[in-house]
Amino acid sequence: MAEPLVSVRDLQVYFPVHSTGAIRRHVNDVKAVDGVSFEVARGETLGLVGESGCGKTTTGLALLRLIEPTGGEVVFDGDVMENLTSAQLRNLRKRMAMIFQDPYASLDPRMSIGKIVAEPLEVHGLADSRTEKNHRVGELLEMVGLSPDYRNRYPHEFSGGQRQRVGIARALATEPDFIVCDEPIAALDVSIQAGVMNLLEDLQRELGLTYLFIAHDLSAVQHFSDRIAVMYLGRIVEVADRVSLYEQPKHPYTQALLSAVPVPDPAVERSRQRMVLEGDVPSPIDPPLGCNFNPRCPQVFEPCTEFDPSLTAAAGHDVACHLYDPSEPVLDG
Amino acid sequence: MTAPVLQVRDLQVRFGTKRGVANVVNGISYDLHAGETLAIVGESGSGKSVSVLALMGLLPQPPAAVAGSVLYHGDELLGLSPKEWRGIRGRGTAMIFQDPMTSLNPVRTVGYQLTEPMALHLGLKGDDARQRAIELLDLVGIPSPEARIDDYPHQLSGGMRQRVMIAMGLACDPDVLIADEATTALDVTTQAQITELVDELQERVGMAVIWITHDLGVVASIADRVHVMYGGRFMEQAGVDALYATPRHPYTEGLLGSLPMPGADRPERLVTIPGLPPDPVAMPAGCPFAPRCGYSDGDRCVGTVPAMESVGAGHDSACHYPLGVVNG
Repeated sequence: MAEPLVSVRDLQVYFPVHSTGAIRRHVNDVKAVDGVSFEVARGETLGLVGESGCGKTTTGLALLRLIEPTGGEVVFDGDVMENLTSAQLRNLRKRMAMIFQDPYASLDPRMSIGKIVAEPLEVHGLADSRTEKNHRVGELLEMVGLSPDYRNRYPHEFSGGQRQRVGIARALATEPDFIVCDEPIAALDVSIQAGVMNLLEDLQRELGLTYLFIAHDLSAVQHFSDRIAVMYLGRIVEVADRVSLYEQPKHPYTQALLSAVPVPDPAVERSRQRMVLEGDVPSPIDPPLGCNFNPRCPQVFEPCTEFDPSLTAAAGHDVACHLYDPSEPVLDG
Repeated sequence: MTAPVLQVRDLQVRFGTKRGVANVVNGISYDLHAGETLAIVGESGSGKSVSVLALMGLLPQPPAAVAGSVLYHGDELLGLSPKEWRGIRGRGTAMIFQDPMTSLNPVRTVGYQLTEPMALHLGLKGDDARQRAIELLDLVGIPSPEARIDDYPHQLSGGMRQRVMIAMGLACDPDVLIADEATTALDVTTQAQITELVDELQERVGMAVIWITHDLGVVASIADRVHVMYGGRFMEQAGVDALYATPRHPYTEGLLGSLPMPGADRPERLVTIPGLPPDPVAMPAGCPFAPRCGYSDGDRCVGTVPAMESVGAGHDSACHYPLGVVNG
């Protein structure tokens, strides 16, 4: 793999839980992200999938330092972000951006879309004159398939798909290298989703962008990503390229997740064996001992309830599961 | 075939708004038979939820104006008094709503909410009702139902809440269950649990299910027949296999093409449907899909609403130029 643009090592984000009452004591932590490591190569799209509450959005936010991580480090293009001064960090921020899930909540209803798109330019001092700024805003709107004449309109005048395009234009304003796309299509209608996905793909090709694509919809992630990381309860359980993750999922959780994704083909739906998981995701305040997935895992055996499996690399297909631990005897079936 | 449980004929729903009259449902007709799962697929704003709210008598009139006919075992439902409705709702037809977080009462226990309809419809009270509530919770797969029955909704996870909703729907043995985006708010693994559950219950109890969703993947896994809705009308209706294998309406074709298919080979680009769904206040005069349709002739399509016509056995399409069919 080429030199990674972003590399994350043992990232942890804990949210403190306080006791109620007159004296608020720190009693526990919600371990939203609990030791996550991955790399994103330049020009690549890494998909991050998992169910709600698994920590995928928190990972994205911590990566951009929109929330302070509890531990671990993020290296962006050779710079360890922890070591940067706030001025240096601000400078680096130009090179990274985020597209949010809900285009109804992520645009200020009282700002015209021209202002929304211009704001990053002003913050980073990227436009010397008003004419230059206007020109750049028009260019950005055009890039995402909106007419520059719309610049004086307000978000409520646009449909969900168009609003998401405004969000994308804003993210592109500072010419970033890296964009975290947090469920960019989840709030959109089916016939609109495809258009936004195509746009993101086109922009990547034209501008050489690197994406972290966060979603719970495995079909969309599979379509969009080069490699996919699967998260469960604050940890990455499997990382592989899109084809081998789909064809040979190793982790029992990935297998269950894949089998649960409804396929829009009735013949396939009838013939396939669905692996339905029992129970619910455990609380991230008090994760189970050993592997986080062990209470729901159909293939659980002795070490799972005692030891935490680490993510072991094997020919571009990493998995954190005792079934595949080289130091353990290989099990049949 | 036996007589249908539910016969919907030319159902129309309009709302008076400040901008004018919104034509949300514009004449839909279908039959629902016992033991069958009918899926109504459509995007937001297509009128699919409003159409089932109308046939459950849950739309306040005004602002809504409902016309047409809904026959339940041969009896007209539209125009019933609120008192008459109470005898049907829950017992004859029941509904599961999209968001179990907002559709359960937060200040009442699960047990209270489950036994309330039983007292009304089945005359079950006290320990008998409680016993039945525990059985129902067990039926929908809630572990240790004896303990859970005294929980409040906030003590349950999303999947558990949706199971409670389903248990409420089943409380009085309805013969029609309407699930309005019942799994949309849930994670895929929970969604799989719920669809399996409804499938299994349907087999056991023999009720008819109307499944409202925008997710064509879910439809493929549960439906017997599918109606595709757009702009308040059905565009295409067919058995589930025929619909996916040979869509006969450009809208259906577009929807199917826009889905990323899980699998190793990915198409270069997804098919997109240009434009936006129609505004119900300003519905196109002709086919509602014509302004976005690649096959539109710009004349007949824009001018006249196409009738629903047969394009194969049990397969109808409302298109002047149905795909794959040579026009005579």
